[in-house]
Amino acid sequence: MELRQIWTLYVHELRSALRERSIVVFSIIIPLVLYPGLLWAGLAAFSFVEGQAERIALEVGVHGLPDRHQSLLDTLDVADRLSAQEWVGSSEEGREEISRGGLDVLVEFVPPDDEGGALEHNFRLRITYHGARDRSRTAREAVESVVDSYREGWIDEARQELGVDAAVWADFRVIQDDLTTAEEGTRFLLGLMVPFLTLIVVALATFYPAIDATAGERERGTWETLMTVAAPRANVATAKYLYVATLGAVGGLLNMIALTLSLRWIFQPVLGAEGQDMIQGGIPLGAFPIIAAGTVLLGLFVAAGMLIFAVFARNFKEGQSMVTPFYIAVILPAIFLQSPDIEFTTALALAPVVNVALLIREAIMGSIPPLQSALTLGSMAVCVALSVVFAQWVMRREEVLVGSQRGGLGGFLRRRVRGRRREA
Amino acid sequence: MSVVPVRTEALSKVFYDESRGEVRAVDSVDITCSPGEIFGLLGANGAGKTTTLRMLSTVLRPTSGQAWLMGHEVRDAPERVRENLGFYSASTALYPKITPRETLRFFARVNRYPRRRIEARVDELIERFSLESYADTRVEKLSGGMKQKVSIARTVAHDPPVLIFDEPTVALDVLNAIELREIIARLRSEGKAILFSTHVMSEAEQLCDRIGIIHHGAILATGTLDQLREATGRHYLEEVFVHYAGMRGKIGT
Amino acid sequence: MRTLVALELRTLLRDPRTVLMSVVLPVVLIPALLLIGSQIEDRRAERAEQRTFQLALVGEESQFAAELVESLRDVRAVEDGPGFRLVEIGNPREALDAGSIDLYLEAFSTEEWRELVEAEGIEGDAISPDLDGIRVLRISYHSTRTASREGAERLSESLLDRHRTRRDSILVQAGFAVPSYQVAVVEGVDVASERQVQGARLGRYLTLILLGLMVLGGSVVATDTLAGEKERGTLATLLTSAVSRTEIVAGKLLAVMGVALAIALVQLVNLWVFLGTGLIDPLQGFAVDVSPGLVAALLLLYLPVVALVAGVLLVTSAHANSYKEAQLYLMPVLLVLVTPAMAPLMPGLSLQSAAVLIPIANLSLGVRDLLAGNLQLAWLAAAWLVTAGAAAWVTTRSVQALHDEGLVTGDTSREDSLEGPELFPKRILRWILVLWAIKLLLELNLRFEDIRMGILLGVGLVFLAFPLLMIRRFRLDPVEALALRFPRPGVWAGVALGAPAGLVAAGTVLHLMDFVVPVPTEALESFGQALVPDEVPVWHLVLLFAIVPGITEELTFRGVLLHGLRRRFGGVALALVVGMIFGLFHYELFRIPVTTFLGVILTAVALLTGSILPAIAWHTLHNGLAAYLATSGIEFGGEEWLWGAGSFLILALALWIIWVCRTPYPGVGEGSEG
Repeated sequence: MELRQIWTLYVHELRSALRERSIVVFSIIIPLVLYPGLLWAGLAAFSFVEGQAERIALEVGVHGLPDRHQSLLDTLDVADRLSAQEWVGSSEEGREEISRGGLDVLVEFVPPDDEGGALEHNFRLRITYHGARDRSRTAREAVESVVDSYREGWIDEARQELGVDAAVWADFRVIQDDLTTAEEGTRFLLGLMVPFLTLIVVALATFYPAIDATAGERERGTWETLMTVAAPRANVATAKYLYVATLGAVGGLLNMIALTLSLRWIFQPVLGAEGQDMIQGGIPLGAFPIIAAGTVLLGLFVAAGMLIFAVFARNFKEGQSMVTPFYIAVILPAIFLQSPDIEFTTALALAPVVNVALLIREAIMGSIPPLQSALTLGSMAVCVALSVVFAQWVMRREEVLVGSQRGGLGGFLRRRVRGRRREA
Repeated sequence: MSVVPVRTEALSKVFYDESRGEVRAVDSVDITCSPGEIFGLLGANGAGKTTTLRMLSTVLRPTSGQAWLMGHEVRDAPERVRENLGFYSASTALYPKITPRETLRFFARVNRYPRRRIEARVDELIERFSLESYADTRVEKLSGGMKQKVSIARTVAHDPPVLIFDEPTVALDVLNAIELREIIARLRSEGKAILFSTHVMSEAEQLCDRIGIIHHGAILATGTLDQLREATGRHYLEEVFVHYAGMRGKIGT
Repeated sequence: MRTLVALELRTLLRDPRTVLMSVVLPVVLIPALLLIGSQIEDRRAERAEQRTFQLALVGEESQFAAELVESLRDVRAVEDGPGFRLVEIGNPREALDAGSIDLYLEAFSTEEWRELVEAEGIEGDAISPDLDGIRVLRISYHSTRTASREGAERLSESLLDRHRTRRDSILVQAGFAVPSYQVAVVEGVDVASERQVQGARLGRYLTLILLGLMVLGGSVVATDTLAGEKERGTLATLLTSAVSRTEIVAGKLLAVMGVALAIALVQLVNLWVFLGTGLIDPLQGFAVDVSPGLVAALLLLYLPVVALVAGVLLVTSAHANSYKEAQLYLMPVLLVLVTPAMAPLMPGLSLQSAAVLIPIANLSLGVRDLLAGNLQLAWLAAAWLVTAGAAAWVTTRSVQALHDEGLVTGDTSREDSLEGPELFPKRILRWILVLWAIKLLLELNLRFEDIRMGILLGVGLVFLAFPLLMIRRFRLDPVEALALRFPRPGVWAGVALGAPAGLVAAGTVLHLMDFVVPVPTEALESFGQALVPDEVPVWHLVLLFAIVPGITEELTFRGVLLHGLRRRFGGVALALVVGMIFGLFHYELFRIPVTTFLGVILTAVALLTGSILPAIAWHTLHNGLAAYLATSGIEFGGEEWLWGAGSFLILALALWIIWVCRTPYPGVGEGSEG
């Protein structure tokens, strides 16, 4: 292998790609304009819903309120967003009104059952609501919490009348103390999302260059030109491979940076008004080298895989449908990785792609397990080496060189096996 | 001592096809080509011209037989072979996003032309093929004729002793085809060994020093135009070709 | 036309690999994913059921805690639930951080707890054991660890359960008639059928999933049908045949729509088959009313969505010169199309609001409501019309795209050969878009302790650098590009009169807009706080709130932006477009209408006077007055109608004065057609 020759070929590939306006524009515009744009749309929608919700009063109809509990109606009416009014119609009419959407909930006072009837002035509340509507469910929850505190007050009053000592009655309090700091919580959330996004953006950034460097060259007719230059095929393959891996890793990193700039703010609407305090800090600085290394490893691996599939395609369209299965196969495991329950075990550290995602997650959360990191590095290096060797072997086959094969990788392998058998 | 630039011995290529089974695309082809000579491969479409030339350019591996370019065997030293070879065909396109100057520089470099002399070589080529006015415009913006000239300059960028032109005029208009033939003739006078394939009889008549008639993968006859005329007793190459091809057809059936 | 559609579909069907990838794969993949997902979830739940939490007890009162935990075994909730294993440990905090225990429970006496509160500075409602003799039990855990979080929840629940039982028994012994759970019992009656509830749940995701699949599948046809044909050269063949371009587009549109609809149908059936056979059960006890009427209604509602998707894909394809280029555009298009379909995921967002004006989002909300049994015919019809209108508009765009010769022949070199000032009008919108995104990212990520620094960098530097960059990059003439001319003297009177009136009018606009785009009070308050810092010298206020934005924002918007767009639109449209872009740069939803209003007026002033100077003066005066009013505590809510009406009259008068003294902006609308 001549490094200088590989370099010449590599620079040549990169130059052509960088002069392609659509590639450059899209690898810049997507992270730079699209993510912030979508982010803004989300924030605007959230602000809109919030503003809208503030202005809508939830209509509560109250029926059969005993005089003894008149204060409950007042409490309901002053409660946040609730507007309580006497309902004069029947239950049946109330239900219809709820179905129509004119009323959110109907609160009916009914006599308690036999056991509960032992308490004077006791009642049962029947809350009629519409389970398929947000408004109605919110109203029901609000009414229930008002009734809960009303009940508390009632019982406490009774306790005082009965002369039960407050301290004896209260006995103990339970306090939950979450030792996770806001920074740790933020890292936790980032740790769930960033590896997944890294994988997607690397795969996406590799997808088009891989097809372009193979099927695209065939389509433009430059493939044969390249095959007759005095460079060993292995060098041509290596240069192409490095080029695809470069674009994958660089594109992945660019996207990552753009996404992390927007990502924290995506959480905010999810977490609501308190989000500001809950989202603090970000990815720890120490994790960036790991993320970068992981992105490069992923780029190297995904590029080799995609080239193996793409090299059989004769035009862009064919290339696309040939690479798609591999693309899906790379992305799929990541979907299930979003569960925080999965631990980064030594066994998982040997599974390619998955291990990089987990390593990035661990790094973001602040710990870098040495054994698993080494295993990840090792297994990815082996996978990359194997797939590069395989890619070079495939690219040296002459039906691939000339483009006379039919079908994709599967058909090619089938023919190879059959061919062997015939030779034997 | 001097080596023969191109020499093949019983060069054969067998393809396996799922529907048709074994196909002998090239069958025991023996050809040679000396410096300053244009050897024409004349045959109909599918006769095995391109397969033969692709084996010589190491894109395909021969099933059996041997071939040498400047003394290097195509299977043993493919890189050496390609280093000494300029390959031009209708399907060897140029990279659209780079300029002619960059194209020449790239191909000189990747074909191992001495590094220190590359810039001088590129300038020389630009002057020789009169590319000055568009040497720094991207290839995608050039007209067909301009691209063709750049393409030939590209083929000889590393100054190879052997040149292969595989049906070069197939997609060209009359004027461009004439110009191309002139350039090829000029390259012959510089001492290059040139392999030239075509299915156009007049082209072969005008250009080739020796002609090999290839049909169904086999060379039926080789010789200068006069020799072929003599052997068949026909004047026009077309008739000569039909004579051989028809004979072979009869034998075959 | 039928021939055209048939041709398109035949071409597609003869490419089995494409069909396989775009249609068959999703059909198989999605249920498979759901299946695996639900199994993983099942296993997780199973594991949680059987989990034993490692618990440590700490504190001087730990004996009490130990007894309590021991007694929990009597409580029903714990018996069949997960167990707690008590672990003896020296330093529980370290053990918890290291993960060797899941949680620990500390028990404090009242005094101890008070000391601790004092020492650790604990805040919130944890402080107040207002009575002596109450013990405090503190559960420490890590919310990021599933086992820890679940253990804490279980323990807390069990303890509270135990607490309640004890309280009830004390109270009943003292003579209270019933246990507390018999007091004021609440029971819920749901008028919604099970189907409606499930329908509402499904409705949240249905449009999103279908839309994603429709875009992916439809794009295959769309890219192939225009960009692909362009590449193969068959489009030229088609254009020379005896069909009109409108017919070509209609034929292609129908083909894309057909595929998208087929995908939607297949997916619906697919979903119901898998859910119906119970193979996948992600939604417990799933039952959706699948009457033919509902299916028909859904199809009717999705029709404009399908048409819009098909139209957008066709336009995208028409603007690409090759299959590859079209594929590159696809990803952003997919994101943009799918985003509005996420509207039903936002809890509380209702169709009966301004949301009805957003295509796709409105119908996805409508589908959710329909499945939830909430039929609002008038609103649904409005939503349908809005999306259908958008689809029609997009479709006419693709017809126009075919009329553009450059697009048909794939020759874009005309644009490539333009340079400098000639190219500038074609590039200005792109650059403004980039500026918009950069400024948004800056605002989100750079938080300055001192807002003055933020304004200086975020407004002053950004809006000054942009026009300078444009002038340099496109070699513009600064005087022309920035409209640095002097207007007639009378204009200044108009500005002096108009700026204060405009401020009051803007208040009225804000108030009016509140009906359409309601402002969350919280956002308004935080905006007010951020805007005006206390104890700042007056000249800082004048400089940073009035002069810096007044000059730099005008240089960008009424300077280079207006210059770049001047030939594309006529006067009125130009004022609206520039005003709108100016508004969008203010990001917060509630500020956009007001700033757009101001932007339109400022653009109008610049157009009438042919100069940027009056606009700068107006803007500076406006901001200065606004800052003055805010700092001196004068509130103008815009509720006073008389003020509002008066301000509009004076504004009109000011604009009339400027109109009288007009020296129009050169070159407006020259390049626009009609």
